[in-house]
Amino acid sequence: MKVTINPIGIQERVDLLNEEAWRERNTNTQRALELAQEACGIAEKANSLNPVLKSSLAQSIRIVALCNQLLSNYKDSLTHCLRALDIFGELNDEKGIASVFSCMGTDYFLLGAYDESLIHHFKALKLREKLNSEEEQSSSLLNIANVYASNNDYERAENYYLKSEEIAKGLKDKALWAKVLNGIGGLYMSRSDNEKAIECFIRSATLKTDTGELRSAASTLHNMGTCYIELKDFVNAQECLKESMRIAVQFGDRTTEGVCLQTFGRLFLVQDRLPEAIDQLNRALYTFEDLNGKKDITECNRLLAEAYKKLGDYKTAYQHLDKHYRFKEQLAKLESAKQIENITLADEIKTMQVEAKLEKIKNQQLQQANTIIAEKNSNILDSIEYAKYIQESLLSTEEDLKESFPASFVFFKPKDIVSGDFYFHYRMGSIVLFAVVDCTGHGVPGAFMSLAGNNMIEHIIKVKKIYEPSLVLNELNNVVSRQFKNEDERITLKSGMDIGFCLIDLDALTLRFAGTHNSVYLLRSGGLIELRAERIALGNKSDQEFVEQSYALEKNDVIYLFTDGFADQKGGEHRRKYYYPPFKELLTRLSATSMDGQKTGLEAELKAWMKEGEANEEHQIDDVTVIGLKV
Amino acid sequence: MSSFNDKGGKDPLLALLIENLKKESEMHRLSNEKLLRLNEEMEEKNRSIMESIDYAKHIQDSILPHASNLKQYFSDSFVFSRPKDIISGDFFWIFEKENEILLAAVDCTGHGVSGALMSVVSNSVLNQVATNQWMPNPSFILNEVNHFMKRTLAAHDDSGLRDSMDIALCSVSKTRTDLLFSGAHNSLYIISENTLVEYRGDDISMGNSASVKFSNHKIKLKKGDCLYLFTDGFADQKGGESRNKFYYDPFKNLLLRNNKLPMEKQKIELHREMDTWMGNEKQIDDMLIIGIRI
Repeated sequence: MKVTINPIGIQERVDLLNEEAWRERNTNTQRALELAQEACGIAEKANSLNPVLKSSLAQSIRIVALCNQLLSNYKDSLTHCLRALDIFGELNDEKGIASVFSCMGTDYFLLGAYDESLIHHFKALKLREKLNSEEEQSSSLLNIANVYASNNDYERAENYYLKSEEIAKGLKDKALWAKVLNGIGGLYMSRSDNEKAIECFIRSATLKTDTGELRSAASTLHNMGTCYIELKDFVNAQECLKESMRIAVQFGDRTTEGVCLQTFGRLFLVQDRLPEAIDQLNRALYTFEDLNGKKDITECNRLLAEAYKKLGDYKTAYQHLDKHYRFKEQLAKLESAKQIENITLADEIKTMQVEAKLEKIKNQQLQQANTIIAEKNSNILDSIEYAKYIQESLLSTEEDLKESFPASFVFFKPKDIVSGDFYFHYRMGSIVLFAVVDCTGHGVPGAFMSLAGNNMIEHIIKVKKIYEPSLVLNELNNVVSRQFKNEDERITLKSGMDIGFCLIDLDALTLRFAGTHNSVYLLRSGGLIELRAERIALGNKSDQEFVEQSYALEKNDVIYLFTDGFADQKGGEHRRKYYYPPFKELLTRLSATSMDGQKTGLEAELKAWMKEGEANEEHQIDDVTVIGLKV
Repeated sequence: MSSFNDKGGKDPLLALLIENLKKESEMHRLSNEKLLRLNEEMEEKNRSIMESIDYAKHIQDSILPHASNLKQYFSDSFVFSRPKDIISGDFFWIFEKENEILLAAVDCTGHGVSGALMSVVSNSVLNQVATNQWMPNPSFILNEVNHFMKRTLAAHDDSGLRDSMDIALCSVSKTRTDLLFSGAHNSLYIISENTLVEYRGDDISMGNSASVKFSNHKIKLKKGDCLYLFTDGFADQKGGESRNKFYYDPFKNLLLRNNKLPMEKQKIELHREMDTWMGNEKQIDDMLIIGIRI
């Protein structure tokens, strides 16, 4: 038989464990610790980035810290607090952060580090004020009052107790009020107003029992016991201490247990019940030694010395007194050792702060540089964008060509903003002259060359009235050679031009062509005919003459002129050039579609070839121009 | 109460503080690395554009007339040229036709790449118009150039095109006795016997309207007279203590003051004066001044 286990999700399990641990923290701290640790283990193992689970993990760690505090393991508590703080910080969970600060404040308080304690409690208070949670604010105020009270700053302590009491009363929060009353009782006690103190303690203890906060009733009862000792009411004192002790043992609160034992010792000492006093004090000492509470050990030894002195056992008295002083000295040494350690740490912090600051300054400088360079670039680009308008307005457009050949297209794709490729179109009656020109270079220098080239061709045709393709190119060769005379010997001007120049007589249906590097394709039903261009380097002062080719046209012949940009473009699987034979095939394949369709087809093919938009996209290496026109 | 219960161990709070500082440092360091890379990339892009513009300057130089062309006709002359950027929108133009020498100081709108591109175009247009014109008459030429600008560039008006050009154009007869001047916005100064006379150009913006007509100033020349053609860059340059413009009156005085010097010397003085005036100010426009002694 198959057993189906309902798998409870990790999140759910962690939350359930946390809830139970929280409920048990005061009644069965050891079990609460184990539950929270289990929750921690599960959440950590999942190692999830999910913020909800992370938050639950931080809660588990905080409960572990709190349980450790309740079990008097303050160091472990602090370590866990720091871990919880990291996670809450990462999640930006201010409520969580405040709760951890509060826990740390209490840890430091119990360790006797009052300054640190205050810092953390105030941090918690600030956050809680921001979060507007009154109950928690009141608890922080109480914690602060407690620290001041222990530091003998009664005025401040009273101030904070009263603030805390006001909120607690307003909220009708009995548990909290009980704690505040305990604190106020302590204040009366320190002013030796023991009757009033006892009054406060009784009310506090009652409230605590009412709200099930039995654990913390132990310290209140202990305080009451101390007051009764002062009032010489030894019977009541003993009752209170007994009850306090019982509760402390029940909850495993060893610190309170030790303190009770010590006060018992004092009670017996006052009553001259010396053997009993010595017995209790020795038990207290044993507990404190176990807890490594040096301050309490010191006090305990003093009381023991006094007891043995009264007993007349001066030797043992001396031994305890000796221990008392040695521990006192040790305490002082510890203080200074801690200070030295902290000075070293402070140095380290200073170094780190300087380093962080330096990096920050560097960061700002780099960002400034970044802005300046970006602005510089954008200025240049603006100027080039504007140059593009000028270029566009001066050179022939697709519309110009469509006036002569309604079925035609211009596929023009510059490499940069401005282009070194251009086309030329001029019509006189039935005679149409047009050319595709590729000036050496691209970008800004290309654009200069294109405008200069365009002007030269216009000049030759419109001013000098030369129309025959071979003659136009001969003249252009002369002009270019003359114009780009190289003034500066150090610079080699690559002022060349590749050109395919056509004259079409629409009446006679003839095509006359001359060109260098740029051939012409003629596509008709019979297939593709190539009119090959010559290889004359235009502008190199050569005396070579251009030769003209004539071809009889038929209606619906399609003529293609182009620069080398398309065939030279790298791409495809092997990152090689497109080459001319595939280019011819492409044009033949596309010839079935309309002229506009052919333009779209060329565009799509080039995009696919360059793998545009893909990770391994190829750069465009030159300006691309292809012109097609149907006769 | 108990106290710290081990051998003076590290304060966990301080340790945490150090940890956070380390994190902060590391964060900045990573961000710095990224920025540095980005800056290098942009610098590289910038450098490659600048190189292409440097190269474009050589092309521009080889297309536009050179100061040596001017010296062929007028041995005592100068061309003061001070571009704002690498390439200039101001250019000097010279053309010989029949018995006349045509001279111009041209200021194409904008500077940098677009201005320079316009200069190449304007140069060709001037060449074409001058070749076609029966008479090398400055106002006729400007009318034609105006037509061309209107026809080609203004066609793109809706794209917010703002090309135009200011020009001071004169023709000097080879006998060196007669001069015709026509200008768009720009003037001609002639210093004759220590007196400066300004001949104002027409207040017409090139390419704005095809119907306007330019007019000519007819001037008789004497030997030793000095002609100055210029763009507005020099007089408009900010500088001095007040950070004002240089303005035209001080410009005229400057020319008068140096008038006795050989023309090449005058050019040096103009540079010196402008260096002092500008101090640490940025140059705001291209500058061009042509000076000729008859």
